[in-house]
Amino acid sequence: MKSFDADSRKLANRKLIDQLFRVLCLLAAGMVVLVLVILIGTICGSATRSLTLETGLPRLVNDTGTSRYDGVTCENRPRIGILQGTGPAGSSATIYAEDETGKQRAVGSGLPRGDGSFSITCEELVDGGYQIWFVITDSDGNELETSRPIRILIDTLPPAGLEFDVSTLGDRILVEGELSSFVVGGRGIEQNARVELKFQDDQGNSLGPIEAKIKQGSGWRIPKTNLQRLDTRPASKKQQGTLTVTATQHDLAGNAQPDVSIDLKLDRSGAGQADLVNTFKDDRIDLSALEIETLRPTNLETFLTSHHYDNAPEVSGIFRALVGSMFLCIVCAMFTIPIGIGTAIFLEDFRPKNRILRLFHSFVQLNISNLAGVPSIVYGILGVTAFVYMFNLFPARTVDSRPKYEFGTNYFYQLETLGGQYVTIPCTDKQKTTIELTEPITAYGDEGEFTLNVVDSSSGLSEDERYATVRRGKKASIVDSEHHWYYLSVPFGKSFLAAGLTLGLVVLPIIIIASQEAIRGVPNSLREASMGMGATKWQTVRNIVLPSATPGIMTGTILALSRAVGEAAPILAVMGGVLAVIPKNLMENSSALPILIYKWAKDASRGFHSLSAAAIVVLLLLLLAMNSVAIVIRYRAERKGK
Amino acid sequence: MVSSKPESGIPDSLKNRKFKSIAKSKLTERFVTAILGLCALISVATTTGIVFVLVSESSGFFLSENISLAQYLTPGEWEFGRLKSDEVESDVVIKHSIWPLLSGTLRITVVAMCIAIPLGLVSAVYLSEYAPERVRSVLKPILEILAGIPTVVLGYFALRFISPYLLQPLGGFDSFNAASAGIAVGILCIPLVSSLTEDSLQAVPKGLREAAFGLGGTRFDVTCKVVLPAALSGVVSAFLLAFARAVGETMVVALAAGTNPVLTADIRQPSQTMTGYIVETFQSEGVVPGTVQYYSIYAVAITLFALTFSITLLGQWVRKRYQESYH
Repeated sequence: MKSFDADSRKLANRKLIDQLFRVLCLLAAGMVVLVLVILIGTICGSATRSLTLETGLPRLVNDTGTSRYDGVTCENRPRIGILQGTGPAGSSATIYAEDETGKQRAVGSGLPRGDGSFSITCEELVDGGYQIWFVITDSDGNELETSRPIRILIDTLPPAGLEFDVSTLGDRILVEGELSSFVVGGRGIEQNARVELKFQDDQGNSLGPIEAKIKQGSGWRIPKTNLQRLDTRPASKKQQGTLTVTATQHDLAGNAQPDVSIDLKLDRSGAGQADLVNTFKDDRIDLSALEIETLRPTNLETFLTSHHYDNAPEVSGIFRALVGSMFLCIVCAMFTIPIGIGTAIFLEDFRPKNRILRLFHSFVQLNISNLAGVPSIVYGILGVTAFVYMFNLFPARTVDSRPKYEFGTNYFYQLETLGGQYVTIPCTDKQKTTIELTEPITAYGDEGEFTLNVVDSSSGLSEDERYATVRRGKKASIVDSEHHWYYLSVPFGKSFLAAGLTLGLVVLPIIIIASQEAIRGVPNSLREASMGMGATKWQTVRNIVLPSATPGIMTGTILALSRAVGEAAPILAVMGGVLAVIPKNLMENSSALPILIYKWAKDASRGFHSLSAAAIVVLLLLLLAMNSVAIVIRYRAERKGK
Repeated sequence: MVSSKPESGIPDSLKNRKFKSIAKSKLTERFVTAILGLCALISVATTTGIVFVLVSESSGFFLSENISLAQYLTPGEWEFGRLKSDEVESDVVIKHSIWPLLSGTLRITVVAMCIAIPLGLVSAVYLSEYAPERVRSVLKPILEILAGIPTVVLGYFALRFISPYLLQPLGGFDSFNAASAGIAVGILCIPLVSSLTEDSLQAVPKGLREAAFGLGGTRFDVTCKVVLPAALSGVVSAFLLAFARAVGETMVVALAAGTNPVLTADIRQPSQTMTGYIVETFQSEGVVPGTVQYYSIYAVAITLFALTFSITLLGQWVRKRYQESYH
């Protein structure tokens, strides 16, 4: 090693560097603290907003797709906006738009339905920029809520360059032989440039040139009224054909740009399966900002007791997800704690003398430290293959067939008696889907268990007797099943049992390592004393080592479980991310808090973002509580030790 | 040995004592050993299970028609995430190079390491060499809290704070981008780097430090010229483990990085990583066992597993091989 220079000048330099480095260190440490403060601060800030001020509805949402809405498939043209929300009885909601010239008008209005919710679609707006907002008024015309206006740009034209596009108003561009039902529009390079259009069908009929000017927004559009002339020519009797549209653009100096043409398929068959010609591109409406929400409080009680509702942040809550997380945690703990502690004992106190077993021993040790570094999503994949599908060894679970291997479930036959009572008969052999009644049999009806009589003829029976009697030969088929909470079937499917076991695998290495450390911390003298008294290894472990290692093991276990509670990736892989399910048996899917946070953070509605932050606060509080328990256990053990 | 019929000559104190059968406890001993061995076997079975599942299922991908290992490993495009599930089965030739996903992972990991290594290293040095006990007792728990924060929370932070408030004002950043995810993953790795590094710094014997101080070194000299070189193997292996952790990080990436597999170095664009692809695909409805898209998950996963596992192994090897021994 080089010896340090004692030269005083250099020493001063070195001291300066030392001081600078100390400052750098402080800065870095400060950064770390700052990051944590900002992280917690942001989340708490957002969360308090959600619980005091802001969640969502009513809001104006963007629906530019050709998607389905309220069960009705929309036509293939731009939707400007849909106002969804809830309002008190008697109120009404109106959407207003103000165009660039300052003209204001109502573009849609409606009343709430019976449940107080409304959904209003505003009318189609022509291209241009708008300010758009909505107002909710009560029955007397007083304003209840007014949203802030947002700026939207409606641009239904294809992207730059002289391209053009044909919007279809119906499914086909030609309906019943008329060419009038489409609009040709496009986008040019320069404002006020002139576009000439020629139309020619494959029969030689032509129309044009028709002129258009590129307007504001560099688009042009020729409405259907200008195209009427072509469809008055009854030249084509063909059902199908093509129409060629050619456009020439002249720039402001009058120079012609190269022609652009497009072939449109015509369909006059009216068969309904016609081609959809050139639908609009995705960017036809720039509604990136189109989501206005008013601020309405969610109360804490709703948040804690309700569950997720689609599109309705103001009534959504975390209850079911929280319960799901707890179930997962319990399954995970029951699986992983015994195995983890067992492995740790095996590794620490049962070192074999046999050479092959010793090899196995050190392999397990190496394996565990490597397992701790495997990404949790890989465990998720293992869980999907090993637990959900079980390597496809068993027949898959489907909706309509009964699983072949199952346990903890009862099936019932159901039938109607002569008196009109529906009774159920427990099923003994589930492969027999129907039974024929020939003997009196025990059945369950409105008044509980009774004996169902079988008769050949129904004459002479009183009303009461008819109530509990069926005709001989009456058939009953399996209609219902009742799963106990311990219902098991293989493969596990997307169940919370599978997810819990997967989580167990994720935290197993952590538990093993923590338990090993705790066991290693027990002084050897204790073991030796016990062995010296004639105890076997297991007796020593059970009576001496485990009791004194328990606080350490419990601390490590609780920390590992808190990791499991916060883990999202394996659950997402195994259960697929449902949001509002409470499992009734081990084979059912469940929701979990981290999944809820993930889905809410990703949701398009701003209301859910704040709720997500609030759910994070709950999750962090839960983890804090678990960690405090661990700390208390450690502290008490330390005090006892002294 | 204990006899079942005590003779009259034995001491009074042992007369009323109940003796247990040794044979029985020996049997118990064997039984317990077997049970504990089985427990240990489960962790081995997990590893074997992972390797078996990944290899057997991804073979379904590589053995499928239209798909070649060569195309998978050479730069190109990755199209699976963009196709609808029913399109996969058709005759469409799918481009399936892993590089876009791999580059997404690397972009995010590099950003993360740029955050985690300096901050983690310097705060570890500070904790171990400079910090007075009072500061230490504050800073240590803060790092532990940071380590305990679930990753989905950091994903939320990246998507709803880092991206809109820190990066987008700079201009050019998409709302989903690699940089925000990278920063969040970096924050996630700080405690890991810092605690592992601090452990290895603490393992350097006090005598070395005292000797260096005795030679007139300042604290900086001692840290940089004596302690860090002595702990280098531990520090490097800490970096490698953090790297593996960043590569395998899922939820932050699934939330904040976007779903656009592109081969680029631009961290402002949305990007998809290997883990992000796996999560995204598991959530789509049409992905059921037997389809090529389902097998593609395993092909990506085996790449991910191979990468993280080899980095972890490398980290352990570095630590063992270059460890300075003071005994």
